[in-house]
Amino acid sequence: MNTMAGSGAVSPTRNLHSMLPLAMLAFGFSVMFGPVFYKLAQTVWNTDEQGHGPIILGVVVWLLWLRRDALHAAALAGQPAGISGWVVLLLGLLTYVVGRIQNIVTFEMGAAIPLLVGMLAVSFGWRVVRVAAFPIFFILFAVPLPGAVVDALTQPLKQAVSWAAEGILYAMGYPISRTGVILRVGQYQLLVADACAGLNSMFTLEALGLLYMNIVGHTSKLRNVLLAILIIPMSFFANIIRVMILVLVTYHFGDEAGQGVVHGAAGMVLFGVALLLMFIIDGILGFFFRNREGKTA
Amino acid sequence: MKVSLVRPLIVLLLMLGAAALSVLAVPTRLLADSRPGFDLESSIPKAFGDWKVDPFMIPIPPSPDQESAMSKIYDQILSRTYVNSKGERIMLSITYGSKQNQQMRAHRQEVCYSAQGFRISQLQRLPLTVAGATVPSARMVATQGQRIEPVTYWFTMGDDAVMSYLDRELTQLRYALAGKIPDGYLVRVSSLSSNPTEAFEQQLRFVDALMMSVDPELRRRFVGSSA
Repeated sequence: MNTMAGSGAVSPTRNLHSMLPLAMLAFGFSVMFGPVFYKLAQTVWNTDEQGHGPIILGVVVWLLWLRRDALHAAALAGQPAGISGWVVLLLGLLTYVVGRIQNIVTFEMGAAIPLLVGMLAVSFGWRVVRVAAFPIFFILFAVPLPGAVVDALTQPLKQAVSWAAEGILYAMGYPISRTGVILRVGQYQLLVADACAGLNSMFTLEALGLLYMNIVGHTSKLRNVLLAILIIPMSFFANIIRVMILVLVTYHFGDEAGQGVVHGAAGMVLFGVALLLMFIIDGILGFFFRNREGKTA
Repeated sequence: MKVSLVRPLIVLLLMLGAAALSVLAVPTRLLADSRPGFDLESSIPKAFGDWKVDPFMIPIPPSPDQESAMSKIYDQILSRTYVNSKGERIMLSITYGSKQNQQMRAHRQEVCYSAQGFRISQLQRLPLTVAGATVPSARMVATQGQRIEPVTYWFTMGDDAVMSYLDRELTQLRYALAGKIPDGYLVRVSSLSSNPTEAFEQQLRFVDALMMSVDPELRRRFVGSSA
Protein backbone atom coordinates (compact mmCIF):
# COMPACT_ATOMS: atom_id res chain seq x y z
CA MET A 1 0.00 0.00 0.00
CA ASN A 2 2.65 2.43 1.06
CA THR A 3 5.26 1.76 -1.59
CA MET A 4 4.96 5.23 -3.08
CA ALA A 5 5.03 7.12 0.22
CA GLY A 6 8.63 8.09 -0.24
CA SER A 7 8.27 9.60 -3.69
CA GLY A 8 5.66 12.29 -3.12
CA ALA A 9 7.31 14.30 -5.88
CA VAL A 10 5.58 14.99 -9.18
CA SER A 11 5.52 11.89 -11.30
CA PRO A 12 5.17 12.60 -15.00
CA THR A 13 4.36 8.99 -15.81
CA ARG A 14 0.63 8.70 -15.37
CA ASN A 15 -0.08 5.32 -16.82
CA LEU A 16 -3.40 3.88 -17.74
CA HIS A 17 -3.85 2.02 -14.49
CA SER A 18 -3.69 5.15 -12.38
CA MET A 19 -6.15 6.90 -14.68
CA LEU A 20 -8.77 4.16 -14.42
CA PRO A 21 -10.23 5.16 -11.02
CA LEU A 22 -10.44 8.75 -12.24
CA ALA A 23 -12.24 7.65 -15.40
CA MET A 24 -14.72 5.62 -13.35
CA LEU A 25 -15.50 8.57 -11.09
CA ALA A 26 -15.80 10.93 -14.05
CA PHE A 27 -18.22 8.54 -15.70
CA GLY A 28 -20.39 8.26 -12.58
CA PHE A 29 -20.35 12.02 -12.15
CA SER A 30 -21.44 12.68 -15.72
CA VAL A 31 -24.26 10.12 -15.50
CA MET A 32 -25.55 11.95 -12.43
CA PHE A 33 -25.03 15.52 -13.54
CA GLY A 34 -25.51 15.31 -17.29
CA PRO A 35 -29.29 15.55 -16.89
CA VAL A 36 -28.91 18.33 -14.31
CA PHE A 37 -26.72 20.41 -16.64
CA TYR A 38 -29.13 19.76 -19.48
CA LYS A 39 -32.07 20.95 -17.41
CA LEU A 40 -30.20 24.00 -16.16
CA ALA A 41 -29.17 24.88 -19.71
CA GLN A 42 -32.84 24.88 -20.68
CA THR A 43 -33.98 26.93 -17.70
CA VAL A 44 -31.86 28.88 -15.24
CA TRP A 45 -28.74 29.26 -17.43
CA ASN A 46 -30.94 30.55 -20.19
CA THR A 47 -31.92 33.63 -18.19
CA ASP A 48 -30.23 36.99 -17.78
CA GLU A 49 -30.19 36.54 -14.04
CA GLN A 50 -28.13 33.37 -13.67
CA GLY A 51 -26.62 32.87 -17.11
CA HIS A 52 -23.08 32.70 -15.75
CA GLY A 53 -23.37 29.05 -14.61
CA PRO A 54 -21.60 27.37 -17.57
CA ILE A 55 -18.74 29.87 -17.42
CA ILE A 56 -18.21 29.06 -13.75
CA LEU A 57 -18.12 25.34 -14.52
CA GLY A 58 -15.62 25.97 -17.29
CA VAL A 59 -13.42 27.84 -14.84
CA VAL A 60 -13.71 24.94 -12.37
CA VAL A 61 -12.47 22.50 -15.00
CA TRP A 62 -9.64 24.84 -15.93
CA LEU A 63 -8.62 25.30 -12.28
CA LEU A 64 -8.56 21.53 -11.79
CA TRP A 65 -6.48 21.12 -14.94
CA LEU A 66 -3.95 23.66 -13.62
CA ARG A 67 -3.62 21.52 -10.50
CA ARG A 68 -3.32 18.19 -12.29
CA ASP A 69 0.25 17.47 -11.23
CA ALA A 70 -0.35 18.48 -7.62
CA LEU A 71 -3.52 16.37 -7.58
CA HIS A 72 -1.69 13.35 -8.91
CA ALA A 73 1.10 13.75 -6.39
CA ALA A 74 -1.42 14.10 -3.56
CA ALA A 75 -3.24 10.98 -4.70
CA LEU A 76 -0.02 8.99 -4.60
CA ALA A 77 1.10 10.35 -1.26
CA GLY A 78 -2.23 10.21 0.56
CA GLN A 79 -4.29 7.53 2.23
CA PRO A 80 -7.95 7.05 1.28
CA ALA A 81 -10.24 8.61 3.85
CA GLY A 82 -12.11 6.68 6.50
CA ILE A 83 -15.67 7.04 7.68
CA SER A 84 -15.67 10.86 7.33
CA GLY A 85 -15.25 10.62 3.56
CA TRP A 86 -18.14 8.16 3.24
CA VAL A 87 -20.39 10.42 5.32
CA VAL A 88 -19.74 13.38 3.04
CA LEU A 89 -20.28 11.20 -0.03
CA LEU A 90 -23.62 9.90 1.28
CA LEU A 91 -24.68 13.44 2.14
CA GLY A 92 -24.00 14.42 -1.47
CA LEU A 93 -25.96 11.45 -2.82
CA LEU A 94 -28.91 12.16 -0.52
CA THR A 95 -29.00 15.85 -1.43
CA TYR A 96 -28.91 14.90 -5.08
CA VAL A 97 -31.78 12.40 -4.89
CA VAL A 98 -34.02 14.71 -2.83
CA GLY A 99 -33.24 17.59 -5.18
CA ARG A 100 -34.07 15.54 -8.26
CA ILE A 101 -37.31 14.14 -6.89
CA GLN A 102 -38.48 17.46 -5.47
CA ASN A 103 -37.24 19.44 -8.45
CA ILE A 104 -35.14 21.73 -6.23
CA VAL A 105 -32.39 22.93 -8.57
CA THR A 106 -30.37 24.35 -5.70
CA PHE A 107 -30.06 20.85 -4.23
CA GLU A 108 -29.52 19.14 -7.58
CA MET A 109 -26.57 21.34 -8.45
CA GLY A 110 -25.42 21.99 -4.88
CA ALA A 111 -25.03 18.23 -4.34
CA ALA A 112 -22.01 18.35 -6.67
CA ILE A 113 -19.90 19.91 -3.91
CA PRO A 114 -20.26 17.26 -1.13
CA LEU A 115 -20.29 14.59 -3.81
CA LEU A 116 -16.95 15.63 -5.30
CA VAL A 117 -15.40 16.09 -1.87
CA GLY A 118 -16.72 12.70 -0.76
CA MET A 119 -15.71 10.76 -3.82
CA LEU A 120 -12.21 12.22 -3.91
CA ALA A 121 -11.72 11.64 -0.18
CA VAL A 122 -12.99 8.06 -0.33
CA SER A 123 -11.02 7.15 -3.44
CA PHE A 124 -7.79 9.09 -3.00
CA GLY A 125 -7.74 10.71 0.43
CA TRP A 126 -8.22 14.11 2.03
CA ARG A 127 -4.92 15.39 0.62
CA VAL A 128 -6.43 15.44 -2.87
CA VAL A 129 -9.51 17.21 -1.55
CA ARG A 130 -7.28 19.87 -0.03
CA VAL A 131 -5.54 20.49 -3.38
CA ALA A 132 -8.89 20.60 -5.18
CA ALA A 133 -10.59 22.65 -2.45
CA PHE A 134 -10.77 25.96 -4.27
CA PRO A 135 -12.10 24.64 -7.60
CA ILE A 136 -14.72 22.57 -5.75
CA PHE A 137 -15.71 25.54 -3.61
CA PHE A 138 -15.98 27.63 -6.78
CA ILE A 139 -18.86 25.40 -7.97
CA LEU A 140 -20.92 27.23 -5.35
CA PHE A 141 -21.26 30.12 -7.80
CA ALA A 142 -22.85 27.84 -10.40
CA VAL A 143 -25.51 26.68 -7.94
CA PRO A 144 -28.80 28.43 -8.69
CA LEU A 145 -29.95 30.41 -5.67
CA PRO A 146 -33.14 29.18 -4.02
CA GLY A 147 -36.17 31.20 -5.09
CA ALA A 148 -36.99 32.23 -1.53
CA VAL A 149 -33.51 33.70 -1.03
CA VAL A 150 -33.61 35.47 -4.39
CA ASP A 151 -37.02 36.96 -3.57
CA ALA A 152 -35.94 38.04 -0.12
CA LEU A 153 -32.78 39.77 -1.39
CA THR A 154 -33.94 41.08 -4.76
CA GLN A 155 -36.73 43.32 -3.49
CA PRO A 156 -34.73 45.43 -1.02
CA LEU A 157 -31.82 45.62 -3.50
CA LYS A 158 -34.12 46.85 -6.26
CA GLN A 159 -35.65 49.42 -3.95
CA ALA A 160 -32.21 50.61 -2.82
CA VAL A 161 -30.81 50.82 -6.36
CA SER A 162 -33.88 52.73 -7.58
CA TRP A 163 -33.76 55.01 -4.56
CA ALA A 164 -30.08 55.84 -5.03
CA ALA A 165 -30.35 56.35 -8.80
CA GLU A 166 -33.34 58.65 -8.29
CA GLY A 167 -31.58 60.62 -5.56
CA ILE A 168 -28.42 61.21 -7.58
CA LEU A 169 -30.20 62.11 -10.81
CA TYR A 170 -32.60 64.40 -8.95
CA ALA A 171 -29.65 66.20 -7.39
CA MET A 172 -28.21 66.59 -10.91
CA GLY A 173 -31.39 68.44 -11.88
CA TYR A 174 -33.21 65.77 -13.91
CA PRO A 175 -37.03 65.64 -13.76
CA ILE A 176 -37.18 62.25 -12.10
CA SER A 177 -39.59 60.66 -9.65
CA ARG A 178 -40.04 57.20 -8.22
CA THR A 179 -42.85 54.94 -7.03
CA GLY A 180 -41.50 51.73 -5.59
CA VAL A 181 -39.26 50.41 -8.32
CA ILE A 182 -40.82 52.43 -11.14
CA LEU A 183 -38.77 55.44 -12.24
CA ARG A 184 -40.37 58.27 -14.20
CA VAL A 185 -38.07 60.59 -16.11
CA GLY A 186 -39.56 63.20 -18.41
CA GLN A 187 -42.33 61.44 -20.30
CA TYR A 188 -40.73 58.01 -19.88
CA GLN A 189 -41.41 55.37 -17.31
CA LEU A 190 -38.83 52.70 -16.46
CA LEU A 191 -39.45 49.61 -14.41
CA VAL A 192 -36.37 48.45 -12.56
CA ALA A 193 -36.53 44.73 -13.35
CA ASP A 194 -35.32 41.87 -11.19
CA ALA A 195 -32.14 41.53 -13.25
CA CYS A 196 -31.36 45.17 -12.49
CA ALA A 197 -31.37 44.49 -8.76
CA GLY A 198 -27.82 43.38 -9.31
CA LEU A 199 -28.08 40.34 -7.06
CA ASN A 200 -26.64 38.06 -9.68
CA SER A 201 -24.06 40.49 -10.93
CA MET A 202 -23.05 40.69 -7.28
CA PHE A 203 -22.49 36.94 -7.20
CA THR A 204 -20.71 36.92 -10.54
CA LEU A 205 -18.40 39.71 -9.38
CA GLU A 206 -17.79 37.93 -6.11
CA ALA A 207 -16.84 34.86 -8.12
CA LEU A 208 -14.51 36.88 -10.35
CA GLY A 209 -13.00 38.53 -7.30
CA LEU A 210 -12.29 35.21 -5.60
CA LEU A 211 -10.85 33.83 -8.80
CA TYR A 212 -8.61 36.88 -9.13
CA MET A 213 -7.43 36.49 -5.53
CA ASN A 214 -6.79 32.80 -6.03
CA ILE A 215 -4.72 33.38 -9.14
CA VAL A 216 -2.82 36.36 -7.74
CA GLY A 217 -2.29 34.33 -4.58
CA HIS A 218 -2.04 36.97 -1.87
CA THR A 219 -0.59 35.41 1.23
CA SER A 220 -2.54 37.52 3.69
CA LYS A 221 -5.88 35.92 4.63
CA LEU A 222 -7.19 39.20 6.04
CA ARG A 223 -6.50 40.98 2.78
CA ASN A 224 -8.47 38.37 0.83
CA VAL A 225 -11.39 38.47 3.25
CA LEU A 226 -11.48 42.28 3.18
CA LEU A 227 -11.48 42.34 -0.59
CA ALA A 228 -14.18 39.69 -0.75
CA ILE A 229 -16.39 41.76 1.55
CA LEU A 230 -15.70 45.03 -0.26
CA ILE A 231 -16.84 43.50 -3.56
CA ILE A 232 -20.44 43.68 -2.29
CA PRO A 233 -20.67 47.49 -1.95
CA MET A 234 -18.59 47.86 -5.13
CA SER A 235 -21.01 45.89 -7.23
CA PHE A 236 -23.93 47.72 -5.64
CA PHE A 237 -22.32 51.01 -6.62
CA ALA A 238 -21.60 49.76 -10.14
CA ASN A 239 -25.21 48.72 -10.45
CA ILE A 240 -26.47 52.18 -9.52
CA ILE A 241 -24.28 53.54 -12.30
CA ARG A 242 -25.81 51.06 -14.74
CA VAL A 243 -29.37 52.06 -13.84
CA MET A 244 -28.40 55.75 -14.09
CA ILE A 245 -26.91 55.20 -17.56
CA LEU A 246 -30.14 53.54 -18.69
CA VAL A 247 -32.26 56.37 -17.30
CA LEU A 248 -30.07 59.01 -18.96
CA VAL A 249 -30.01 57.22 -22.33
CA THR A 250 -33.78 56.84 -22.25
CA TYR A 251 -34.25 60.48 -21.30
CA HIS A 252 -31.93 61.90 -23.96
CA PHE A 253 -32.31 59.40 -26.80
CA GLY A 254 -35.69 57.80 -26.26
CA ASP A 255 -37.21 54.54 -25.10
CA GLU A 256 -35.86 52.38 -27.92
CA ALA A 257 -32.27 53.39 -27.33
CA GLY A 258 -32.62 52.56 -23.64
CA GLN A 259 -34.00 49.09 -24.33
CA GLY A 260 -31.76 48.15 -27.26
CA VAL A 261 -28.03 47.80 -27.63
CA VAL A 262 -27.34 50.22 -24.82
CA HIS A 263 -29.10 47.94 -22.34
CA GLY A 264 -26.57 45.21 -23.00
CA ALA A 265 -23.69 47.68 -23.14
CA ALA A 266 -24.70 49.09 -19.75
CA GLY A 267 -24.26 45.61 -18.33
CA MET A 268 -20.72 45.59 -19.70
CA VAL A 269 -20.11 48.99 -18.13
CA LEU A 270 -21.33 47.53 -14.84
CA PHE A 271 -18.66 44.85 -14.97
CA GLY A 272 -16.02 47.24 -16.19
CA VAL A 273 -16.67 49.68 -13.36
CA ALA A 274 -16.83 46.94 -10.74
CA LEU A 275 -13.63 45.23 -11.88
CA LEU A 276 -11.80 48.54 -12.07
CA LEU A 277 -12.93 49.34 -8.55
CA MET A 278 -11.81 45.93 -7.41
CA PHE A 279 -8.31 46.38 -8.80
CA ILE A 280 -8.05 49.86 -7.29
CA ILE A 281 -9.19 48.67 -3.86
CA ASP A 282 -6.92 45.65 -4.05
CA GLY A 283 -4.09 48.02 -4.88
CA ILE A 284 -4.92 50.20 -1.88
CA LEU A 285 -5.21 47.14 0.38
CA GLY A 286 -1.88 45.92 -0.97
CA PHE A 287 -0.29 49.22 0.03
CA PHE A 288 -1.45 48.80 3.63
CA PHE A 289 -0.62 45.14 3.89
CA ARG A 290 2.84 45.54 2.40
CA ASN A 291 3.54 48.24 4.96
CA ARG A 292 2.37 46.04 7.77
CA GLU A 293 4.29 43.06 6.55
CA GLY A 294 7.32 45.27 6.13
CA LYS A 295 7.14 46.38 9.75
CA THR A 296 6.81 42.91 11.17
CA ALA A 297 9.53 41.47 8.96
CA MET B 1 1.94 2.58 -8.35
CA LYS B 2 -1.21 1.20 -6.89
CA VAL B 3 -4.33 3.23 -6.35
CA SER B 4 -7.01 0.83 -5.19
CA LEU B 5 -9.80 0.20 -7.67
CA VAL B 6 -12.23 -1.14 -5.08
CA ARG B 7 -13.21 2.18 -3.58
CA PRO B 8 -13.73 4.06 -6.86
CA LEU B 9 -15.83 1.11 -7.99
CA ILE B 10 -18.07 1.29 -4.91
CA VAL B 11 -18.38 5.07 -5.38
CA LEU B 12 -19.28 4.55 -9.05
CA LEU B 13 -21.98 2.04 -8.16
CA LEU B 14 -23.41 4.38 -5.52
CA MET B 15 -23.49 7.23 -8.03
CA LEU B 16 -25.19 5.13 -10.67
CA GLY B 17 -27.68 3.99 -8.02
CA ALA B 18 -28.50 7.58 -7.06
CA ALA B 19 -28.91 8.52 -10.73
CA ALA B 20 -31.24 5.57 -11.35
CA LEU B 21 -33.26 6.26 -8.20
CA SER B 22 -33.72 9.90 -9.12
CA VAL B 23 -34.94 9.01 -12.61
CA LEU B 24 -37.34 6.33 -11.35
CA ALA B 25 -38.74 8.36 -8.46
CA VAL B 26 -39.35 11.68 -10.21
CA PRO B 27 -43.09 12.22 -10.41
CA THR B 28 -44.43 12.77 -13.90
CA ARG B 29 -48.16 12.24 -13.52
CA LEU B 30 -50.25 15.30 -12.76
CA LEU B 31 -52.75 14.94 -9.96
CA ALA B 32 -54.88 17.29 -12.04
CA ASP B 33 -55.18 14.66 -14.79
CA SER B 34 -56.61 12.08 -12.43
CA ARG B 35 -59.74 14.01 -11.48
CA PRO B 36 -62.21 16.44 -13.03
CA GLY B 37 -61.08 20.05 -13.31
CA PHE B 38 -63.07 23.20 -12.77
CA ASP B 39 -63.49 26.27 -14.91
CA LEU B 40 -63.10 29.08 -12.42
CA GLU B 41 -64.98 31.65 -14.49
CA SER B 42 -68.17 29.55 -14.50
CA SER B 43 -67.72 27.74 -11.17
CA ILE B 44 -67.46 30.83 -9.01
CA PRO B 45 -70.94 32.40 -8.66
CA LYS B 46 -71.30 35.96 -9.90
CA ALA B 47 -73.79 36.62 -7.10
CA PHE B 48 -74.18 35.03 -3.67
CA GLY B 49 -75.72 36.22 -0.38
CA ASP B 50 -75.59 39.99 -0.37
CA TRP B 51 -72.73 40.11 -2.88
CA LYS B 52 -72.70 40.45 -6.63
CA VAL B 53 -70.05 41.21 -9.22
CA ASP B 54 -69.59 44.93 -9.66
CA PRO B 55 -69.83 45.44 -13.41
CA PHE B 56 -68.34 48.93 -13.21
CA MET B 57 -65.11 47.88 -11.58
CA ILE B 58 -62.60 46.40 -13.93
CA PRO B 59 -59.53 45.18 -12.08
CA ILE B 60 -56.31 46.94 -13.09
CA PRO B 61 -54.37 44.48 -15.25
CA PRO B 62 -50.87 43.60 -14.11
CA SER B 63 -47.85 45.07 -15.88
CA PRO B 64 -46.64 43.14 -18.97
CA ASP B 65 -43.67 41.44 -17.34
CA GLN B 66 -45.80 40.55 -14.34
CA GLU B 67 -48.37 39.09 -16.69
CA SER B 68 -45.87 36.93 -18.57
CA ALA B 69 -44.55 35.59 -15.26
CA MET B 70 -48.10 34.89 -14.08
CA SER B 71 -49.19 33.01 -17.16
CA LYS B 72 -46.16 30.74 -16.75
CA ILE B 73 -47.17 29.78 -13.22
CA TYR B 74 -50.94 29.78 -13.37
CA ASP B 75 -53.28 27.97 -15.75
CA GLN B 76 -56.35 29.95 -14.76
CA ILE B 77 -56.62 33.42 -13.30
CA LEU B 78 -59.89 34.86 -12.05
CA SER B 79 -60.08 38.49 -10.91
CA ARG B 80 -63.37 40.04 -9.85
CA THR B 81 -64.68 42.85 -7.72
CA TYR B 82 -67.87 42.18 -5.74
CA VAL B 83 -70.12 44.82 -4.23
CA ASN B 84 -72.81 44.47 -1.54
CA SER B 85 -76.03 46.39 -0.90
CA LYS B 86 -74.15 48.92 1.24
CA GLY B 87 -71.84 49.67 -1.65
CA GLU B 88 -68.82 48.03 0.01
CA ARG B 89 -66.41 46.37 -2.38
CA ILE B 90 -64.22 43.31 -2.09
CA MET B 91 -61.69 42.17 -4.67
CA LEU B 92 -61.38 38.45 -5.27
CA SER B 93 -58.53 36.79 -7.07
CA ILE B 94 -58.29 33.02 -7.52
CA THR B 95 -55.55 31.37 -9.53
CA TYR B 96 -55.09 27.76 -10.43
CA GLY B 97 -51.83 26.02 -11.33
CA SER B 98 -51.81 22.39 -12.39
CA LYS B 99 -48.11 21.90 -11.61
CA GLN B 100 -47.12 22.92 -8.12
CA ASN B 101 -43.52 21.81 -8.35
CA GLN B 102 -40.67 24.01 -7.34
CA GLN B 103 -40.31 26.67 -10.00
CA MET B 104 -43.96 26.73 -10.90
CA ARG B 105 -45.51 27.26 -7.50
CA ALA B 106 -47.87 30.03 -6.59
CA HIS B 107 -46.04 33.07 -5.23
CA ARG B 108 -46.22 34.54 -1.78
CA GLN B 109 -48.44 37.56 -2.11
CA GLU B 110 -46.34 39.80 0.14
CA VAL B 111 -43.55 39.42 -2.42
CA CYS B 112 -45.84 40.17 -5.37
CA TYR B 113 -47.31 43.23 -3.71
CA SER B 114 -44.01 44.70 -2.67
CA ALA B 115 -42.71 44.13 -6.21
CA GLN B 116 -45.44 46.45 -7.43
CA GLY B 117 -44.37 49.19 -5.08
CA PHE B 118 -46.61 48.39 -2.12
CA ARG B 119 -45.31 48.61 1.41
CA ILE B 120 -46.28 45.53 3.41
CA SER B 121 -47.11 45.77 7.10
CA GLN B 122 -48.85 43.70 9.76
CA LEU B 123 -48.06 40.49 7.91
CA GLN B 124 -49.24 37.56 10.01
CA ARG B 125 -50.04 33.93 9.50
CA LEU B 126 -53.04 32.49 11.28
CA PRO B 127 -55.56 29.69 10.93
CA LEU B 128 -58.95 30.92 9.68
CA THR B 129 -62.18 28.97 9.76
CA VAL B 130 -63.61 29.02 6.26
CA ALA B 131 -66.64 26.93 5.35
CA GLY B 132 -66.11 24.82 8.46
CA ALA B 133 -62.50 23.99 7.63
CA THR B 134 -59.37 25.29 9.33
CA VAL B 135 -57.28 27.03 6.71
CA PRO B 136 -53.72 28.22 7.44
CA SER B 137 -53.83 31.71 5.95
CA ALA B 138 -51.93 34.96 5.81
CA ARG B 139 -53.11 38.50 6.40
CA MET B 140 -51.25 41.68 5.55
CA VAL B 141 -51.82 45.34 4.89
CA ALA B 142 -50.45 46.61 1.57
CA THR B 143 -50.00 50.38 1.29
CA GLN B 144 -49.15 52.52 -1.71
CA GLY B 145 -49.58 56.24 -1.28
CA GLN B 146 -53.22 56.84 -0.35
CA ARG B 147 -54.20 53.28 -1.13
CA ILE B 148 -54.49 51.03 1.93
CA GLU B 149 -55.36 47.47 1.03
CA PRO B 150 -55.83 44.77 3.69
CA VAL B 151 -55.29 41.37 2.06
CA THR B 152 -56.18 37.82 3.13
CA TYR B 153 -54.84 34.84 1.19
CA TRP B 154 -53.99 31.16 1.31
CA PHE B 155 -52.55 28.44 -0.92
CA THR B 156 -53.63 24.89 -1.51
CA MET B 157 -51.61 21.97 -2.79
CA GLY B 158 -53.49 18.86 -3.84
CA ASP B 159 -56.08 18.42 -1.12
CA ASP B 160 -54.54 20.57 1.57
CA ALA B 161 -54.13 24.21 2.41
CA VAL B 162 -50.41 24.79 2.96
CA MET B 163 -48.75 27.94 4.25
CA SER B 164 -45.22 27.48 5.59
CA TYR B 165 -42.30 26.70 3.30
CA LEU B 166 -41.74 23.37 5.04
CA ASP B 167 -45.42 22.46 4.77
CA ARG B 168 -45.37 23.00 1.03
CA GLU B 169 -42.11 21.10 0.65
CA LEU B 170 -43.36 18.11 2.64
CA THR B 171 -46.72 18.04 0.88
CA GLN B 172 -44.94 18.10 -2.46
CA LEU B 173 -42.67 15.25 -1.32
CA ARG B 174 -45.66 13.24 -0.12
CA TYR B 175 -47.24 13.51 -3.56
CA ALA B 176 -43.91 12.80 -5.24
CA LEU B 177 -43.59 9.53 -3.34
CA ALA B 178 -46.97 8.59 -4.78
CA GLY B 179 -45.60 9.53 -8.21
CA LYS B 180 -47.74 12.64 -8.58
CA ILE B 181 -47.30 16.36 -9.08
CA PRO B 182 -49.99 18.19 -7.10
CA ASP B 183 -52.05 21.09 -8.41
CA GLY B 184 -52.94 24.12 -6.35
CA TYR B 185 -55.08 27.18 -5.88
CA LEU B 186 -54.28 30.62 -4.58
CA VAL B 187 -57.29 32.34 -3.02
CA ARG B 188 -56.89 36.05 -2.30
CA VAL B 189 -59.44 38.59 -1.09
CA SER B 190 -58.71 42.23 -0.44
CA SER B 191 -60.51 45.50 0.02
CA LEU B 192 -59.64 49.17 0.30
CA SER B 193 -59.99 50.19 3.91
CA SER B 194 -58.11 52.18 6.51
CA ASN B 195 -59.51 49.92 9.22
CA PRO B 196 -57.75 46.59 8.68
CA THR B 197 -59.36 44.83 11.67
CA GLU B 198 -62.83 45.48 10.30
CA ALA B 199 -61.78 44.73 6.73
CA PHE B 200 -60.26 41.37 7.72
CA GLU B 201 -63.49 40.39 9.48
CA GLN B 202 -65.54 41.33 6.46
CA GLN B 203 -63.17 39.48 4.10
CA LEU B 204 -63.52 36.37 6.22
CA ARG B 205 -67.33 36.58 6.13
CA PHE B 206 -67.18 37.18 2.38
CA VAL B 207 -64.92 34.27 1.57
CA ASP B 208 -66.83 31.99 3.98
CA ALA B 209 -70.10 32.78 2.22
CA LEU B 210 -68.45 32.40 -1.19
CA MET B 211 -67.04 28.96 -0.33
CA MET B 212 -70.42 27.81 0.94
CA SER B 213 -71.95 28.69 -2.41
CA VAL B 214 -69.59 26.75 -4.69
CA ASP B 215 -69.72 23.09 -5.68
CA PRO B 216 -68.82 20.92 -2.62
CA GLU B 217 -65.98 19.21 -4.49
CA LEU B 218 -64.46 22.51 -5.54
CA ARG B 219 -64.96 23.83 -1.99
CA ARG B 220 -63.02 20.85 -0.65
CA ARG B 221 -60.15 21.71 -2.97
CA PHE B 222 -60.26 25.37 -1.98
CA VAL B 223 -60.26 24.97 1.79
CA GLY B 224 -58.50 21.64 2.12
CA SER B 225 -59.75 18.37 3.50
CA SER B 226 -59.52 19.24 7.18
CA ALA B 227 -63.24 19.99 7.35
